Amino acid sequence: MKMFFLTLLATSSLFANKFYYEFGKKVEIENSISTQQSLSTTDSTTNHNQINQYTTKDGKKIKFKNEILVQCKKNAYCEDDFADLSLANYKKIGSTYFLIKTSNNDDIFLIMQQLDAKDDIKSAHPNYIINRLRR
Amino acid sequence: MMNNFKYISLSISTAFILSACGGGSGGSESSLSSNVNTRISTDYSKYAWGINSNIDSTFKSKYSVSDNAHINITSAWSKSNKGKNIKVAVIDEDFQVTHPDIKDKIIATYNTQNGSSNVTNTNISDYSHGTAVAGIIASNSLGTAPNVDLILINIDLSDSITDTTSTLTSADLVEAFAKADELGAKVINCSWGGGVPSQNVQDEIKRLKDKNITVVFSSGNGDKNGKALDLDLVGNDDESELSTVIGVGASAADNDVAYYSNYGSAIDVIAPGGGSNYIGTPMIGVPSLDLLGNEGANVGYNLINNDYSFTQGTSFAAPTTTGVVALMLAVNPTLTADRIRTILTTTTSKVGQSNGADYSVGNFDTKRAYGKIDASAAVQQAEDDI
Repeated sequence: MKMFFLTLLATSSLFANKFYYEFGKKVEIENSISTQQSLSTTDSTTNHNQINQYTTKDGKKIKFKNEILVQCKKNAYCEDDFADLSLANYKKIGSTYFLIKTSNNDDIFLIMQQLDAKDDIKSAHPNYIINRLRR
Repeated sequence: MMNNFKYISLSISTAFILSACGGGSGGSESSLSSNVNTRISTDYSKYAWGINSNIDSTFKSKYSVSDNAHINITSAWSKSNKGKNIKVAVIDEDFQVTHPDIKDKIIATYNTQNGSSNVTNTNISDYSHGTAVAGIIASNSLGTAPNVDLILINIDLSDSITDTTSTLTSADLVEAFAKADELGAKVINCSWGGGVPSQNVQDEIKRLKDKNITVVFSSGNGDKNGKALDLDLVGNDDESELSTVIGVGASAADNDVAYYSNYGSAIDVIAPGGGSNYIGTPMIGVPSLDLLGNEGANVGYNLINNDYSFTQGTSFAAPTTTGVVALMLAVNPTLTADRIRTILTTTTSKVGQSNGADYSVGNFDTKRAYGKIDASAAVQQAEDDI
């Protein structure tokens, strides 16, 4: 438990006062990131995905995985951009989409700003946890 | 195996789970289901009031099923070979790929939670949502398009607004749609929603539509009391409202819109989804698949065995429509997504006129959209387009 709180503190200070752009709109972070632990399980494999949370300056509480969702422009080759930024841990999840894995040691806001500055990239934002109900 | 049981059991339960739309929209909706379970037969088409005109007379009388509650499926089947060779993707959860009524129709599976092909009941839930949804499309006796090829894609949905265990992400949805396309789906069913569609998801769905892949969404099951929400009042906050999808509300056994069926100017049609149009009156759901044996919902009206269930919600109106789209494509594979929408919305039955429906402006009623789908008329028009 002590280790958890130490990790939390370290993570929080690391990501203080950050921002990123989501489809051109600046998203500013009000507080530091806190780390939670998902209790979700899948069929035969226990899947403890780390879930992080921050609050934006307009008061929204945002949960996300340690991942960045990147949308590339049509016919762009974003792999070169990832290489430029030494981002190797990613997978393609759609014709123009990539999911970049990050860790607590990464400054994800800085990475997202760097990605956003690339001409080939339409948007790069945290991989948000969302809530969708079966109907 | 399990469906050889001879006993009859009866249990009735209505899961009425309070929930709210995400994204700060301020709206709320319920996740609503009711199921039936008994074992007397393996072919339950006699209870499939939503698609068949020729249903069991005792059942029909007991549950006050309207003569016209169905969608005229029979002639549509004869023209379309029941959707043969059309690939339909279901993005959902709680699939049972071993269910004998769909197992031979599944051509591909994918789980966005871990990248594997294992989609079977991944939440270890006793609920059968994805299985039931797939059954409404492809069940031998209960499906609208029994000969389609199914692609089942698992995502982690929430049971209610208080369900904090879901780890569904924006990337999961993007990947689910992209995977459906990659696997060859021509129609994609989405019986879920309740949040502001992200720009990524909107862009991906638009890309699919531009490829003439039709995406169908359910409109949702009302507020915390089960009363339908006017989606226009809370803005464009639900995937079913996107102009790039077909938004589907539910009709009930009395051949009018269901009490719980969310509506709005962006919803396109209604289709049988079960339930009464008033809370408090007896409600009959639409029959579909349940998890095998004693797993699953196992609640119902003492009519069908516990490999099957009666269930209700816009979740089941959407796949009814998805199946009809598959029939249309089987007749005419050149139909564009826009043309499919036009045909669906212009061949409807204008239901509810004795209950205040008003289609006088643009053939559109506020709560019933362009009306209830008519499979026969839609497939005929698809054929006439050739």
